[in-house]
Amino acid sequence: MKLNGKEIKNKNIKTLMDIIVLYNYDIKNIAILVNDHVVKKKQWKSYRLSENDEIEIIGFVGGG
Amino acid sequence: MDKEFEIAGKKLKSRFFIGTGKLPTYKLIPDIIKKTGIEVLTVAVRRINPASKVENIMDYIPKNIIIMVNTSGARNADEAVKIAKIGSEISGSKWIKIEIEADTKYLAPDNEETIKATKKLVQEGFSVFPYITPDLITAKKLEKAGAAAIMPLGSFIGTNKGITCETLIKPIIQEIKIPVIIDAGIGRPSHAAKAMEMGASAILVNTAIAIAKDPVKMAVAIDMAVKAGRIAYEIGILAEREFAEASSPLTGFLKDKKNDKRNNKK
Repeated sequence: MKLNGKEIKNKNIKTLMDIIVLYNYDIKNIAILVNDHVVKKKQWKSYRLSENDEIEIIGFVGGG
Repeated sequence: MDKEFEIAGKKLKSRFFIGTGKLPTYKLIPDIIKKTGIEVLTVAVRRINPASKVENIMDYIPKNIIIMVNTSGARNADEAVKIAKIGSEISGSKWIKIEIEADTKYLAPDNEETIKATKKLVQEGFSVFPYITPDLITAKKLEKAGAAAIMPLGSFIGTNKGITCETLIKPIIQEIKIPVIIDAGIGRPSHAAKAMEMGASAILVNTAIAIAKDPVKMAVAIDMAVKAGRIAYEIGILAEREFAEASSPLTGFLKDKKNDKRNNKK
């Protein structure tokens, strides 16, 4: 599977929450897309990932 | 001057919106807010990489501040709509600044795609703030589409040239009933005052503050100019005159007109 465009391999990654924990993301201010669709926060724990999923983790930065 | 004004159903006191791009550190944000009383900030949406230990901008924005998510980076309406939805998911805010640029040299907004994105997002319940190249017809279409305000550019982003599009912005301010927020190009306090004297409802400034030697002080200076310009607009800006009109009474007792050689009679 891909995280922000980069290939990642880890057998322990089963759900979106696993990625958040493993990569130490701050869950407060992020949105997650799986294959271009927003997955709501309450589904992160239960959302099962499959091998070809493309995950994007999006947050805010300074901007005009 | 302390009168509140309304945008997208929110009552605001400050007519000064600030963009947070290019700031040397987000740590300045609370101080800028405290010293200017601004109520609206813009942010952009980007990938967050796992290893990044960079500052999280949200840690520096107080809860009472309205976050306007900017769709910069979008090249067409569909991308802008997508960014808007993601941004709103993160912030919980429905305020979206639509910025669609198909050009990288001038970052010129694509008015046509902006109208499309505005229609779509308004239908989905967003408060839409479209950033446009000043054009009255585009502004009318956006108003009809239900935009919350119109954001014409004063000059291109980051150019610090001021309100160079004055003749194109004036008719928008006159003809459009929703608020007009002049965005981009404002590089110094006098530009901000000019925008407000013209009758803009508010302005949005980013670069001039972010790259100033002292961003907090520059924000304060521009805030003063916004207030000054607004007060003058509310009182009524005087018309320009071609010839002098004495402001002190002419000395009536110097009666000898024959010796007065100042007259321009030929």
